[in-house]
Order: sequence, then C-alpha cells, then structure tokens
Amino acid sequence: MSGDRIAGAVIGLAVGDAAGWPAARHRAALHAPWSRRLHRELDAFAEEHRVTTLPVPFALNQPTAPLAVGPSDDAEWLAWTLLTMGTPRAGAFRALVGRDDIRARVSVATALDNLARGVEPPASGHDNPHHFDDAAAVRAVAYGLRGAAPDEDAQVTNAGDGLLGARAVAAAVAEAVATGSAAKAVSAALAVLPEDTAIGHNARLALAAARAAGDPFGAVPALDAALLDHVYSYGVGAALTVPAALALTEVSGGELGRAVPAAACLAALADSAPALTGALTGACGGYGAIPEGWITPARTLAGCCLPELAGKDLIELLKGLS
Amino acid sequence: MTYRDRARGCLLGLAAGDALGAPAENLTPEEIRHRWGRLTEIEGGGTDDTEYAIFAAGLLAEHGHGLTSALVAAAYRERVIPAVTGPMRGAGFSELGTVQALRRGLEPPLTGLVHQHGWSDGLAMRAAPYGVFCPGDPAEAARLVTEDGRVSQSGEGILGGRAVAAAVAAAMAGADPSDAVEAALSAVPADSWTARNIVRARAALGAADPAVALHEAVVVRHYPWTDLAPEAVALALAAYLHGEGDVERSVTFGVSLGRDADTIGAIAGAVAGASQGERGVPERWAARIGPVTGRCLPVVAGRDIRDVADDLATAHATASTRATRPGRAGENPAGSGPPGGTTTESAGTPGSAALPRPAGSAGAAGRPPAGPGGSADAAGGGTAGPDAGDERMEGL
Repeated sequence: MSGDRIAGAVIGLAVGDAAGWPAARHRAALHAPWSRRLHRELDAFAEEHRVTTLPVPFALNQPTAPLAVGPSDDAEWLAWTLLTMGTPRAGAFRALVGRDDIRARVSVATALDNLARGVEPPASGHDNPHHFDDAAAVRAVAYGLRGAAPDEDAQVTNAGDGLLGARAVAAAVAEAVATGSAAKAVSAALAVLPEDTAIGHNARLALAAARAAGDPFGAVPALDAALLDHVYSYGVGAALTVPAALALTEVSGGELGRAVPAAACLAALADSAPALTGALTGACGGYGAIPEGWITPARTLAGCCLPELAGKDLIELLKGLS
Repeated sequence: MTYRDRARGCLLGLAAGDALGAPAENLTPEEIRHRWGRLTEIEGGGTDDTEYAIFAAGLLAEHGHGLTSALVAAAYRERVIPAVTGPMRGAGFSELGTVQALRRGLEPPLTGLVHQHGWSDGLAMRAAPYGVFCPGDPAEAARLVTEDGRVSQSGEGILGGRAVAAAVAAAMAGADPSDAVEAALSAVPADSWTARNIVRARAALGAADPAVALHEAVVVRHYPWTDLAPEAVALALAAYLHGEGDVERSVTFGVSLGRDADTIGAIAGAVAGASQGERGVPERWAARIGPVTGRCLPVVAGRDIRDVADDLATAHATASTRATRPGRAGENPAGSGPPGGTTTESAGTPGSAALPRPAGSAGAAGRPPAGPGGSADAAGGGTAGPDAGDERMEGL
C-alpha cells in the first residue's frame, strides 16, 4: 500500500499509541514477570507508607529499550490486521486460539475463548463482557485505508458500540485518506453513528464540547466533564475513545501535532484515544505532516502483544502490502 | 398454597439467598468448600439485592401496570440521588453509572446505555417483584421489568431481568422448575447471550460434577468483575433446576458456585420461594431476615421483606379488579422502545401507601430527611469500614 495519507494514518496511530502513558506499561511486558511484580509491590508501598512518590515502569537488571518512547498494543494489533486481512476473519483469530504468548484486550481474549468453545461470530463478539470496547475500532483503521467495511473483522470480538466504533473509524479514515478533510472525515463517522446509541450520543456531545472550547488542549477539561463518568474501571470503551478522537480531530483541523497531545491528556482514555486520534489526523495531514522526531521511535514495533512482530518496521510493512 | 404465601416465599427466598451468598461473593468454589464445606447458614445481613428489590416492589405497588421508565427515573431523582452525598454504598458500576447519567440530565434509555456496565445483574437481582406482581403472566412481568431496566441497564442486562421476572411469574402460578425456566427463555430472544447461557447451563447439569461443568459452560475467564447478568442468571436458574425447586437445595447449590454468589442466591431463592411459598424457606433462614438497614438504599430503611410481599400482593389484587391496563401489542424484548397500547392507568394508583417514601415522610422508616446536604449517616457513611464495593474486590 502506498500514499502519503495511508502511511500517515498508520504511523499516526503508532505515534498516538506511543504518546499515551499506558504504552510503557504495555512495553514493560517485555521484561521478566518479577519486574512487573516489583512494580505492583511499589504501588502497594506507596499506599502503605502514604508517599506520593508513585512508581513508573523501570528496568532493574532488565533492558531499557522497551521503556523508550514507542508504540505498543494498538500499533501491533493494527499491523496484525494489515498482515492478515486477506484471510477470513474468524479463521485469522482462530489461529491465535491456545497461544499463551500474546496479550490482547478483554474483548479479544474473551472472543478467543468463545471461538475455542465453539461460539462463532457474531456471538463471539456479542457474548462478551467488553463487546463495547475499541479493539475493533483500532483494527478498523486497516479497513478504512482500503475503503472497506470492518464488520466481518469487528464482529469477531465486538458488538454494539464496539461494532459502531469500528464502522465510524473506518468511515472517517476512508474519508480522510480520500480528501484530507478533518471535517468531512468526522461527518462520515457521524453518519454511521445513530443518535440513540451511547457512542452516537457521546460523539455529538464531544464535538459540541470541543467546538465550544475551540482548541484541542483547551477542550480537555470539557471533554472530561461531558464524556467521562469516571465510574468504570477501564477506559477503552469505544463510546468514549472514538468520540474523543473525532472531536479532537475536528477541532484541530486535522493537525496531529495539536490533537494527539490533547488526547494523551485525557488520562483515563490514554490507552487508545491518542492512537485513534493519531490515525485520523495522520490520515488528514499525511505522513509528511507528522513531526519528524516522532517517526523513528514510532515506526518500529516492540512485540509486547504479538511477539512475532518484534522489530517489525511499519513503513516496510506497508510497502510489502499490495 | 395462596398467592400471598407464594409472594412471601419469593421475596423471603430472595432475601435469604442474598444473605447466605454474601460472604461467598467472588470466592471460587474451591475456596467456598475449604471455608464452609457446604455454606448452609446465614452469617450476616443481606446486601443490595434485597434493598433494590424492595425499592422496585415499592414502585410496582405505587404504579402497577402503569409503571414507566420515566416514573422510575423520577423515583431515582427524588428518592435515591439526594441520599448519594458521598460513597454510594453497596452500589455496583451500573447503579452509580446511572446516577451519574441522571445527574447529567439524561433520560432513559440513554441513562442505561451511556455507562459501560449495562449488562450487569443489577436488574436481574431486583426483578423478582415483577414476577410476583404478574403471576402466570411472564410476558407482562418481562414488559414491566423492562421499564425499570431501561433506566439503569442495556442489552443483556435488561434481558437478565426479563428472564428472572418471567421465571418468577411462572413459578408464582405453580409452574414446575423446568416450565419456569422455559418461561424465562420465552422472555428473551433465542439469539442472545442470556438465552445461550441458560441453555448451556441447563445442559451442564447432566455432568458428573455440575459445578465444574457450569463454570466451564458460562463463566467468563478473562474478566475480573463477576456481576455479568447472562452468567449470574444462568447459574441461578441452573441452581433452581438442580435443587428441583426446593429453596434450601437450590440456594445452597447456587451460592456454592461463587462468582456473584449473593445475586445467584437471591435469584435462585426468589424463583424457588415462589414455587414453595413461605414455608419453603427454612425457618432458621427466615428468622435471620429482619427489616433492612438501608445501608445501600437509605430510602428503604426499616422495611421488612414480608410487608413488602404483602403490599405487592395487595397491589396485584387491586390491579386485577381494574378493567384496563396497558396493552402489550408493542412487546419489545430488546427493551428499546416504549410499550405499545394505551397507558390508561395513571400514576398514583391505589397501593401507593406501600411505597417506600423519601426518608422523613415514611413513619416506618424512621430516618432523618436525606435531602441534599443530608447527614453522612443518611448517605450510608463513608468511613465505617469496607463497603460492598470493597467486598467485591476481595475475590479478584
């Protein structure tokens, strides 16, 4: 695959993925398990001793490279999708069943369990406690690049808002790749998000909040107040991350360098909202608009979720795709 | 057996199952065996299951077949939210998520859609009163519980409530356990997680070790929270079948499964209690069930589950003598639209005296007013030790 906006979407996603704080926690998965156990113990230490000095991912006797800024789960699952999207989706996921060396979202892990017990799509994505998360929305970037529907892929792991999020991202990426217009990309996404769904309601709410603020960074508190309920224990719901990405894409006029930092400031959504924002704005502005300094660290995958992708270069990967 | 007897059996069974299962919540079956052998004796009080069921019963007694999502949302705004001045004790994600959505000014069904725990068993745990109110009419029980559910749940969370309400409605009319479970299945689409889990759980009962087979059949492995309606409802109905409708056998087997053990016990106890009546609930259990404290829902403090059952029975008798009630032409299992037919029954029907009024207006409750700025005590307190939220964490 070639084209400045196509490469912009993929590298843009990797940049956003790398910019969010959870990336280092995902990448620390490359360290020995005891290293992460020590991290949990330091968290408990801070609680017990009432010290506000909180642990960060660290390397005790471990290589430091995984903790350098770089992409993690979202970039790897997008790369996996780009590499496997030629095969029927249930089969592509079934090939992962039984592997004990991969890491994935709750929706994907549960879908693999469902496939193992004979629950096929769409039930594999529906009978799923995280059917609403944005795992499929991240993979949908690959479908948007080709102007294809993400449904067959999305339904393996998601349903409801999770499926709608995938459709919205695919539609927005396709429009951005075709026109470069952030406004048109967001309109294309809204067109597939019914107003009476949580994701459709939230998308319009987020856009109104961002428009009122008039600036991506300025919109952060308004998005937090309007969008986040801060009740649930995980921040990867498509009804939250996709609207945040759409709103920041529009209010930034499609400028990755303004939109992604703001997304990374939505701490609860920082695992994937920056990545989705990076994909949309990267598609709008193209590869050439991505800040030079981010490209080198973002283009190489770590293999923290799919070990076979360790060291994979995203630009080379795209060149190898027809 | 009289209708009133079954009503008491159902709600006493719910309260007993809730109280019996509470200490087993989030434990594994192995941990439960290790600690108790078979958990058969109630150790402490009930939890949110009983108090929310009392709240739902009060809404039914007040509004009867005319209950709507808008009336339920209004009740949350008037009687629940003012007391949530600090921690919302005993609340799961769906309850506080709903409160947050209502505070933002949203209306049903968005209030149940925008938070991310729509499929929790928060409706299933309080669904039994709808079955009590609609004996022999599982479809109407399911329609009414959907009105409640659209405020706080979505999707499978609503379906779980429909399944429980329908099973109780059938059991209230004397259906045997297998027919009551069929009634549950008739109230949800065959192409749903809830239906698939009920069918899978039923099939697992034939295994050499049903508890292990049930876990393999319906328990989600890669998720830390256990209050999934499709899972809890399937396990509870399987326990009811396994116990052949006997309250003690159904409930003790249900809570032995761990996971959301108090809700599993509450649902199994409610359906079995509807089958067996008040005498079906072991006396030593009934003796432990007194007025609720209002720890989770201050507005119901002081209510005794027996009085709630009697009020519900009275409300049913009153409603039965009335000529009209909403038609069910627009029956919608997904709960995404308003019921069809004409709602001729207005708010404020006879029976409203049974409703738990805001603290301060209900003599029985004897609680101080719990308006905005109310005392920490009325809000359940925040420093008196771990609340149910903490208890949920212990099994993780």
